[in-house]
Amino acid sequence: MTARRARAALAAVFLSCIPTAHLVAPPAPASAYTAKASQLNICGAYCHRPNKSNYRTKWGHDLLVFYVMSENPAPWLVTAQETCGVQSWSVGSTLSSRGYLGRYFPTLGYNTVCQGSFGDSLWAIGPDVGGPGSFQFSASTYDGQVLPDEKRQVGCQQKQNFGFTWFGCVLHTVDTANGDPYAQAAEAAWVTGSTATRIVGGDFNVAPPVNNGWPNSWEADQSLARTALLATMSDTTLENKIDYVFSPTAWFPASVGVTSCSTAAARSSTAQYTDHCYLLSTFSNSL
Amino acid sequence: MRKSELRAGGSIIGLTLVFVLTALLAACGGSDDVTVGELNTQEPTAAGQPVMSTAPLSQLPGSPFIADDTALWYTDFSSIARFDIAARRWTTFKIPAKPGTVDGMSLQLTGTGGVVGVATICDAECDRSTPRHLAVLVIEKKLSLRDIDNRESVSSDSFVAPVGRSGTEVTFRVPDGSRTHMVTVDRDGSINSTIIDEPIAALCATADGYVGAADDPSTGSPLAPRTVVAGKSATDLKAVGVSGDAQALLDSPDGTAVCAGQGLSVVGPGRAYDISVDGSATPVASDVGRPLQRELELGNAVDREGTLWMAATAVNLRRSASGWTAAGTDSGAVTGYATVDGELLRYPSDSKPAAPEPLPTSAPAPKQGP
Repeated sequence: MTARRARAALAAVFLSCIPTAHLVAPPAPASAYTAKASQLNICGAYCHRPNKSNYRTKWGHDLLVFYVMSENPAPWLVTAQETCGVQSWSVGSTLSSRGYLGRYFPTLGYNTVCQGSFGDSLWAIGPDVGGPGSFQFSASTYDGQVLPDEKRQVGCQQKQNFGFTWFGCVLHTVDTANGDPYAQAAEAAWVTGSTATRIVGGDFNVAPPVNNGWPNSWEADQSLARTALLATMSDTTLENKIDYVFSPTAWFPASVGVTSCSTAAARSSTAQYTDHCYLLSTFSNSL
Repeated sequence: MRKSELRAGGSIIGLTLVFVLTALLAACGGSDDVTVGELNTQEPTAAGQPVMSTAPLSQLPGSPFIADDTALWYTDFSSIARFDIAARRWTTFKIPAKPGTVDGMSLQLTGTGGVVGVATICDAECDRSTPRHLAVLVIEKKLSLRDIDNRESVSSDSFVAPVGRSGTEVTFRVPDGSRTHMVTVDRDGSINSTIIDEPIAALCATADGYVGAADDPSTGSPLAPRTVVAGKSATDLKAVGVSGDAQALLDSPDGTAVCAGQGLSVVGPGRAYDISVDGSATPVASDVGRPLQRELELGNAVDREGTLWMAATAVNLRRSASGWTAAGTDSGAVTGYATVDGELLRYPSDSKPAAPEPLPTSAPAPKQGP
């Protein structure tokens, strides 16, 4: 009971900045509906430091834009981690032509390579309902340094389209050297779990299973074993899967597919941009 | 047992001890002691034979390099290769660190025929969360690797940038989040290292000392406003005021602060200024009819069509009819050192061929060395 009250309190805080009074009833959804969600850690800073063994010659946000603009139908939600502030703005300005609105959740006020802020981004089609909400995870360190301005968080935006009022959320949990990603993943599941219609995309920094904190949710990409590439551009061996997209089974009774860089050619081209694979998850209400 | 046998036995034991000690030091991935890298020299590259066809190391994106009229140096983060231009001979120096533990490195010439580098070295095989520390490499005739005494920890987001040579010392800066490590290596082998609690976005060595630009991270702006810093020593920098339009340009997202020419320059659309160590700004004169290219500051290996291996500068400034532009390697601006059909070139230069065409925006897959 205590846990339930705590969760309700946290969810209330999390959602408090999202006005709901002016919500209008969304149009009825189509009888059959399918949603796609794209997820990519674009490695906006780590992969672009000069004189480094893992240097990438291209920027990950270009790869994300390429993939999303190639999708038909367009994903409802696009989530990205490790975006410089200017990259988030750049991607948003391109995706706006397809009806996306973006939200940027800074986790660091300053990053050397970004020469500015650094964080996570989401873009979702259709009008926003109110402003964004975010929940800051329990404390972590940043690369071994005590940087109190690092704010790992789950950030969400409520949307109204496709016949639903729903939440799109993005997160990037800390790695195991600097904190407890399992605890942060559980916090994210706990907080976002208060909403019945949601899609959560993130780099969870943990190999499957994430934990048991996502009951009644599709992990659309659960068939995948690996989504992260090795650190160097020249070695495109895949590491463990650490990127996930979740959505409630009550909302989408079926998960119908997932795409990621499964071929050597896809890995090789992806590795020029980032050390993660692009993930496309598809959910449907058709069993 | 005869004396000669005793001597031989002693020599074997001694050699074995040296070998074991060397192996132990190497296994430590760079200790507080000096370790000596293994050396290997190839046969000379025949006249007319492309020199890069005999290059001993992989040429990877991100490979740091440096060159002058006598030699080209580059590294694949496991070894350092030197091509002696007169002798047309490659020599490699094995870095005495565990494989996969050298995260990043920058090289600079010592001015006495050698090279000095600063490396970020992981305490175990590098991944994003592995702790890193700084170490100094020096090659004169042999290679030595020495940890900086206090084993300063640096983050995985850090990188090493060359600053330049002033007097007998060579300086590197290591941007690391909202702070900057400064490392100075003197010709006598002494190392001076300090941490500045500011992100130094650019730092240039001049005849009068050092001048650079520090970002203001408190704003969270995508392109932070900048303060000019200067000092006789790279480890003792003070803010200096810059007046007028030059400071406005520094604070603008359109302004780029770079080391170009003999010091700090700030460049924006349509205008550029050279900034001296006292903060005075001088407009850069340029004739649109004679595009002025200014180069520097970081070198990275870039692959091109399999025939040209080049090191492109990170920032290249050009004046064209549309004004000044500052471009990174991805957008096609290329200057620096190159091998064209196997011949080593330095450009732009009055006596060398014109710079190659800009890189394609979609570069080919990286070419691996032999």
